[in-house]
Amino acid sequence: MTALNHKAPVIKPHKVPLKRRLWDQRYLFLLMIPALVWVILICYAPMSGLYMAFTNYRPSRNGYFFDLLNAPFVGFQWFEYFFQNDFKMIMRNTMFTSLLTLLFSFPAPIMLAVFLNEVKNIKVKKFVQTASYLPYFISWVIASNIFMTFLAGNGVINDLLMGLGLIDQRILFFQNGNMFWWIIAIANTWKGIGYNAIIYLSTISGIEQQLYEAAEVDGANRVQQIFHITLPSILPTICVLLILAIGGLLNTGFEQHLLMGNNAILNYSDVLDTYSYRYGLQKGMYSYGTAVGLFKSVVSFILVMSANKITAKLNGSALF
Amino acid sequence: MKKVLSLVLALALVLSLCVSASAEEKVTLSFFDKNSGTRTFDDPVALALMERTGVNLELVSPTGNPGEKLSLMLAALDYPDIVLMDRGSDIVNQYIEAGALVNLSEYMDLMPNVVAMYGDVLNKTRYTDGNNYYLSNWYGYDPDPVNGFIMRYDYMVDMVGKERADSAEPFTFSEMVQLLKDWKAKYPTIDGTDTIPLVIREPGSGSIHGTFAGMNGMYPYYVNEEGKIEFTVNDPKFLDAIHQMNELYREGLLDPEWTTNNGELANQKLSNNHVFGYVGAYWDTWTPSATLLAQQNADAEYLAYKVVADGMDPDKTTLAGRSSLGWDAIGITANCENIEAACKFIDYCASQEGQDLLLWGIEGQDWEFVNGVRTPIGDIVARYQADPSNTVNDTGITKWTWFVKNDVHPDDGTTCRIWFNEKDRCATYAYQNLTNSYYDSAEFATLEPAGNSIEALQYQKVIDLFDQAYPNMVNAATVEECDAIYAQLVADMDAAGAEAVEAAMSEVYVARVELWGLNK
Repeated sequence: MTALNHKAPVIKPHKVPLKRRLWDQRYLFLLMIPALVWVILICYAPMSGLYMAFTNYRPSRNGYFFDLLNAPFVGFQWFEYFFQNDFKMIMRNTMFTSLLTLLFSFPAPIMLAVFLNEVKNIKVKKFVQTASYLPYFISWVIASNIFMTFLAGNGVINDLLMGLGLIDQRILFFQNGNMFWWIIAIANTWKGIGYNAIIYLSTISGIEQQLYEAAEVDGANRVQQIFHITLPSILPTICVLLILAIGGLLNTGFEQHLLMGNNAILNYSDVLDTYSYRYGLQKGMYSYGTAVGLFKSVVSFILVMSANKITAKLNGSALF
Repeated sequence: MKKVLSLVLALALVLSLCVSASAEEKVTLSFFDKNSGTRTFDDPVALALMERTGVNLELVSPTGNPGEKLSLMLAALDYPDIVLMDRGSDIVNQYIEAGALVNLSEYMDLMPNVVAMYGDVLNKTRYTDGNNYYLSNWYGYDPDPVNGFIMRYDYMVDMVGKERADSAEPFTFSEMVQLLKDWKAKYPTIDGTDTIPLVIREPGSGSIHGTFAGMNGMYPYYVNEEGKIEFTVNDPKFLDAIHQMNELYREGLLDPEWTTNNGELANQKLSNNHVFGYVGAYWDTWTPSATLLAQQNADAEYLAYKVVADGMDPDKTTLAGRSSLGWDAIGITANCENIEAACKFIDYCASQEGQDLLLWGIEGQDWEFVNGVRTPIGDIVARYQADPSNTVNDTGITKWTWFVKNDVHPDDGTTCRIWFNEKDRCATYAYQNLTNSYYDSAEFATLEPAGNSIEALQYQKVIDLFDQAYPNMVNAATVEECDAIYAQLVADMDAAGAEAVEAAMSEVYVARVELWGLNK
């Protein structure tokens, strides 16, 4: 909550010369150097490669920077090709999968955290928390195999549906493009629900117990306490996570799409990440792959800024 | 006592220095083999190869997608001394254009065995500048059988009788459909599990399954009357092939989950006792056959049968497309610090002696000359036939298939691989039934536009469209739906620039036909 821009009283700094202040804080700056180096090397330096999106880059023995700087400049050629051809399909898949994921995976951990908070039996609470947290640590290779086995033509889900008499013919989940988006959304939610719930649980644990006691005195039942104390108290956290989730809308996932998709449903399973991977790395079209990746980054940036502004206007809380 | 101890220690020190000095003399070469998977280079053949060449070979694992790894290594200039990649892929041209591969033409005098063994193949694999940057793997004319309907022999005997099951006479597609229907009617379930008449693997990229293309006499590209290249969707026989697959699907004769059948899944299904047959290469079923033979009966083995489209001349099928220029390309990279040693290593591997080591094993241990003829020792071939994977891994024979020449030995007429010198029943049926179906696919290889270009993107888009539509055409609920998807595919491909891509590919193809003197 401290990261939010609540209207805090402005404390005027003492008028100490800058040099003196820097010298006084020299050890803090020293501590900061490794992190600064990391950010420059890992986050900013690779951004020079974005120039590749505007060139026809081909690697040679002359080295990366030489090739990059001497590659023929092609302007927006790769962007134009992307927008004229696969843009619609790729964006549709990316947005639908993301929105469905957001629809499930955003409220799910809030509900789980609130419900867990209401569980009084510590053992049950710990067990549910651990069980829901475990999938986060499973790699997508294993998780995808689990889903593919469960949803196979002769898998458990089909057996169950057939046994209950809900379907006459087995459903081929992975041959139906529309179902793929739902499968991904459910898989994403299943995998992340426990991890995200921890953030809300930690926020809930910080709520003043006197508020609940006072509410009880006033005659509020458990449900009323949830709606009038718990949820309003974790609202800033919800806002922060919503901003981050909206910012990551185009990060709909990579491994799960690659592992669970197949050619029959490629026009549903191909998203921005898999698309730029296929062209950029598998086909060696580095410039085109970079152009698609850059487009994604720009849109993500706009989304984060917009979500931040909207949230700030709506409830006065913003990430930055 | 102290003096003795000092002497011993000093001696040990001197000896260790000598050993380390001699170890330093041994050249170390790193080798990326896209086919090596998780295999380790520590079997008897690998050790013998290192001993004979004086080279310490470090195998670089492909880890996951070899194509991706090759692209990354190229971008980061982080390639090993020797790379083995897919010859049909654009990655070879990318490596050459990037200057990542050494011009081997300059080192041919160091590789006399390569010159002798490869012969005219070296001329056909020259780059546009006239130089050789790689050597082919699995080169030479290879009229061995490949694709067919690989059916359970015991069920075939049960359904059509032994005489017909043993006959080399091809089945027509209609006959095969009826046979599959009859089998399904007779065996709706086996051991409580629903039976599957036919299993096929997931679709590859850019083409339909080789068996269905081959039984209709199709090639990787359609060559029109003007001798120009077109995508196979324009082949008059394309829709026939798709209709045949669609019929199998609609009739419930094809595994409904074929689009997700990777090699392992397909093998699992084929190893269970409720599948009648498989469509693909006859060797794909070796492992499932070994399992079934051990668990079921002596005839529970997948054997190859030729199926031809109705009205098709059996001698005009194209079930065995093989490239005389090989499947893989092996080159020395510009990162190699000891090109001379790499050339000598390659020259040994490509020599007859090297080939015998890689594909027949160690002389005197795995095979020997008997009356001038190479002869396997003991039960090694029988072991292989019972358990191919483990025998290859344990012995190292055919585990490392490098610079392989598809040919018989010129001195004794034995096959290039020890396992095929004595044909087992599976190979015997394949050679007996899948006859007159060979064609050299070399002329169609690497025609696609290279590198970062709009044409390359258009080509990839066309392939993507095809890959998406192909399974949906096969899985269509009706013939009309199948035709509608086909019509949409053709329209989409045209809109994506198929014509421009075909023009670019035709230019390369026509020049190649002229250069190679192919009569078209």
